[in-house]
Amino acid sequence: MKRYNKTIIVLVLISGVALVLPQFMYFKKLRIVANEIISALFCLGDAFYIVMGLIFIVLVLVLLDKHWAYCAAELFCCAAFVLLLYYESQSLESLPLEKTEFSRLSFGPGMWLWLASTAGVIIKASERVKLKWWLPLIISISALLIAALAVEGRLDGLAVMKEYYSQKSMYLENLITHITITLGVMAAAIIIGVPLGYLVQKSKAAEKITFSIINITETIPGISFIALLMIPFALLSTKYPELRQFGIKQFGAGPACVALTFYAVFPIVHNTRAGFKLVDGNFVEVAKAMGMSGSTIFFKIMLPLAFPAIINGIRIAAVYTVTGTTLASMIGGGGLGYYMLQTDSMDTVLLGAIPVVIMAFSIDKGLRSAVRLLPFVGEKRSIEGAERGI
Amino acid sequence: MKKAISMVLAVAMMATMLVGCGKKSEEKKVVNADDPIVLMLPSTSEYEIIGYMTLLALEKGGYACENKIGAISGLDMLREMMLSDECDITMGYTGNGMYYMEEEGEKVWNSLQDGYARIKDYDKKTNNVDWLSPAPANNTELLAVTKEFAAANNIEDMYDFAEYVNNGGELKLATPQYWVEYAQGLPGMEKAYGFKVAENQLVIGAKAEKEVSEGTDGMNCTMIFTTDGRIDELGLYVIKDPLEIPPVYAPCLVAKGAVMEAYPEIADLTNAFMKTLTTEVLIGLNRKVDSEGADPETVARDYLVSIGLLDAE
Repeated sequence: MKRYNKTIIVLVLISGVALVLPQFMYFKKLRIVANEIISALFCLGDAFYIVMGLIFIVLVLVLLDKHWAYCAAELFCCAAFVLLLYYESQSLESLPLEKTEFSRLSFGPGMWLWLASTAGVIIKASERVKLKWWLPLIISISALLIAALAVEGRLDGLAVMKEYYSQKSMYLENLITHITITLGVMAAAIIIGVPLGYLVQKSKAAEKITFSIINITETIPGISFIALLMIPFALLSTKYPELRQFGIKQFGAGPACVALTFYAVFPIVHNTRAGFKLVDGNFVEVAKAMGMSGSTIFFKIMLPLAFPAIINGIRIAAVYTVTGTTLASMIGGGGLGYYMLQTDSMDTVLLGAIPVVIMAFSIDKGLRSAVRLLPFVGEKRSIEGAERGI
Repeated sequence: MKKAISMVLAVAMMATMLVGCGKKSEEKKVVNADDPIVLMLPSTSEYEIIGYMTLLALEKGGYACENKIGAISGLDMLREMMLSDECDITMGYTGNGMYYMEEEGEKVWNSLQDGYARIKDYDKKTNNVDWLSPAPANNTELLAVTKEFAAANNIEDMYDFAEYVNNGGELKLATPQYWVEYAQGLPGMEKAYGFKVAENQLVIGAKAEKEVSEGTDGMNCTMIFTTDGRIDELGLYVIKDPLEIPPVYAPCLVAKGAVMEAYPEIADLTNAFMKTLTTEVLIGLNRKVDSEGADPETVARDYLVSIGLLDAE
C-alpha cells in the first residue's frame, strides 16, 4: 500500500475547514469594536469558490505525492493567500452591513487558522521539493504581488492598511530607526563579543569576569534593565549636556542600545568560545609541524573552523535584537515598538509586528544559509553542532 | 561601477542642497533657530493631539520645535520627562500633582483652580518647572458600564449604582491597583454613596473598557478616564458622580522655567487653544483618533483651523 504523507494531508484539510468556519473575518464599523463576525462565504461571495477550489487542487496534488506536485502545491497555496487578501479587501464595498467611511475588515480566528495551516502545508511540502530556489522564488513573487496590491490601494479594505494610513506620517521613519538600532547594536555586539569569546577560552580570569557580568545582565528583564540604565544616562546628560549630540541622553535610543548590546553579546561570546574550543587540536599540531606562524594558524586554521559557530551566535543575537528593539520606543528611541505597544486594536500591533517578523525571519534564514554556503565548511556534523549552539 | 555610484551620489547631494536652499528662502524668521524647543509627549491620543496643537501653534508663532510627540510609549516616564532637561514642553494633569507632592486624598485636588495653583506653586519652587494655564476639562476616573446594562438596571448616577450593588446585583469590576487604594478612588466612592464592593467582585490590574463592552469573562463594570474617545464606539455609559469624589484632572502644558523665561510668549500662544478644550471637545477629538483612526496631527490642525488659530491650507 502506498504510504501517504499524513501530516501534509491533515494540514490541507484543516486549511479547508478554516475556510468554512463561521468566524472567518471581523467586520469593524469603526476602529476597535468587531461589530460583526462573518464567514468566508459571506465575506468573499463568489470568490470563496475560487479559493476553495485552489485548496481542493492542493489536496489532490499532495495526494499524488510527486515531486512536481509538491512544487505546484506550494505555488497554489501562495496564490490562494494573495487572492484571499485581494478579495477580502475588495468585498468590504459590497458587504450588506451598516458602514462608515472608517469601516474595515480584520482577520478573525478562521483566517488565522487558515494562514497557520497553509503555512504548514508550504513548509511540509518544501521538505519534498529538491529545487532549493523554488520556494524562495514563489514567496518573493507573492510578496511583490502583495506589495503591488497594497501600493495600488487594492488592499484598502483591510484593517492593517487602514491603520497604516493613519500612521503613515511617521511609519517609514520608525521603520528606519528600528533597522538602524538593530544594525548598530549588532555591530557593537560583534566587535565586543567575538574578541571576548576568543579571550575567555584563552584565559580563566577573563572567563570568570566576563561570564559573571553577562550571565547577570542576561537574567534582568529587558524593560527593567533599560529603566535602570536611564539613571546613569540621565546623570551624564545633565552633567555634560554636550554629550547629548552623541546619543548620551536619558530619553532616546541610548539606554535601550546599551541594554540590547549586553543581551546580544551573550550568545556571541558563548558561541565564539565554543567554536574555538571545538577546533580539533590535531589540526593545530599539524599546522605547527608544517611551520606555520601563530597568526597564520589563527587566521588559516582556527578562525575558519570556528566560523560556523560564531555566525550562529550572531544569528541568535540578531534575531533577539530585531525583536528586542521594540523596547526602545518606550523611552523615546523610536522604532516599530510604537505600534506594537498600542493594544487598542490588534491591527496596529500587526503594523509593527509584521515587519519585525519578516526581518527576524530573513535574518535567521539568511545567516543559516550563509553558514551552509561557507566554502571551508565541509563536514555536515560541524554545522549541526553549530546550529545547536554548542 | 564606482564612477556611476559617485555620480549618483553627487547628483543626489546637489538635489538635496537645492531643495534645502529652496525651502529656507521661503521660511519666515525663526526666533530660536539654533535652540529648538523640544516637545516630548507620550503616545496616547490626548497627549499627541494637544502636543501637535502646541507644535503647530508654536511654529506659527515663529518658534522652531523638535518633534518628540509620541516618542514615549506608555505614561510611566511622564514625571521624569517633566523634570528632565532633555524635554522643554510636555503635558500633565493637575490632579496628578497629588502623586508628585505625595499627598493623595487631600481635598485641594478636587478643585481645578486650587489643585492647579498648588502644583504650579510647588513645581516652580522646587523644580523650576512651569505649569501653563489648564484646559477647562476634567479627565477624571469614574465607573463605566455598557449602555444596555445601565438601561436594564436603571443606573444613571452613583446612587443608583450603590443601590444595585447593595441589592446583591451581579458585579465584576475592573480597576487598576492604585484606584482601590486611595481616598478619592473606589474607597471614596463607597464611603460617599454607601456601598461596598466585595473582594471577589474586583478584578485588580488594569482598566478593561474593551472587555466590558464585549462582556469578556462576565466583566460588567470598569474604571474609565472620562475623556476617553472610545466611550461612544464601545457603547459604554459613564455613571454620573454628583458628589464629585475623584480629583479634577485638567490637561495642562508643563514647560521648563528657563524656556518660559526666554520665550514668555509661549504662554499666550498655547493658552489660545487650551482654554477652548472642554471635556466634550476632548472626547470628540480623541474619538477621531481612537475610533476613526485619524492621524493626531491632522486632528490637531483641523481643530486649530476650526477655531481660527490657523489658516486652512
